Amino acid sequence: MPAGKLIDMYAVQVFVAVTEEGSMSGAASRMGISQSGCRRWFGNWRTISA
Amino acid sequence: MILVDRTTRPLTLTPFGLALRNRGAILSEELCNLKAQVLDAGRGVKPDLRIGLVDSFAATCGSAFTRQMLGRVAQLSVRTGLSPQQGESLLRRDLDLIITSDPLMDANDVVRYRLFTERYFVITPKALDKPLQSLDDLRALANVLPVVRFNRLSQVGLQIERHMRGLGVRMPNRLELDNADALTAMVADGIGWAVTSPMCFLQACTWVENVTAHLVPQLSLERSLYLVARRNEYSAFFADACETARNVILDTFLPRLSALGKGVETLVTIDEEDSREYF
Repeated sequence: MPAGKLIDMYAVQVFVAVTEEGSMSGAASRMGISQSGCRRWFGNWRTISA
Repeated sequence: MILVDRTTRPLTLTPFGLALRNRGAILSEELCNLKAQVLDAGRGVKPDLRIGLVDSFAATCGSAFTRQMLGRVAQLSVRTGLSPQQGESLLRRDLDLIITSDPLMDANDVVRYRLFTERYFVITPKALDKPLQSLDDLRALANVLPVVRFNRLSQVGLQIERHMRGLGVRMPNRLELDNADALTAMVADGIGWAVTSPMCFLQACTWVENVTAHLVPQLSLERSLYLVARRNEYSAFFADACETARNVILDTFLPRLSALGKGVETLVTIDEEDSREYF
């Protein structure tokens, strides 16, 4: 997540879903989106800038 | 700051990632509550509501309850089923309000209201002309006629099973059914005997003429039906729903039960209006 950008609540929900479900497929199912979509949203969270 | 350690499988969270997940989970939960809280703040706004009704309530009081609720909501979706499924759906947010025999005592953040309590009783085929007054009579009956039981995945089935075992009434497992209508029909047809509740009995009103009801006091087994919702969501509406459900029990359920002429209405107790229980 780049510095200065507002945190997207949807991205937060995807992050929580992936980490709680332990898999992209579980998270995608919980969020009602495709696995590739889920991976893309989660990918945004690799790092967070100070 | 790195959030995820991708060198391990399955991937693990760094302390930054853990902080994001823990705080994010709280924010997500708040977001899910947002709509209900906004509607609650507006009080006059009619919500879209998803209600779950346990089968016996749906079959006996469902139409009267739904008709009255329709005037209070913008959109209503009703789902029926067994109590354990209703509870799971409420906690998963697939439903907003449920009428169930399971008060979800292990769940935090739900509010419960007891609608009524009913004692179980025994039904036997009408042709079996033998009064049942004690547990010894019941044990003797279990030796000569098979029991027709509720499915043990249901709240009612599980509760009866545990209680009878505690009383030392041995009931070999021959036949189990997942709805009260079919259960009473089996008894009416002479296949066996069963333990049932007044609401389940009314659900099977087509068959009651061909069964005998035995109000065995020593059975001392009861269940309550509750209205359960998530705490602090739709709270104004929850009070309305409690009032509506209570009126349906008093004005529809009890008179219909009395009309069966079997005396089972005496097994139902409703809390006084000023001692109603929210917990």
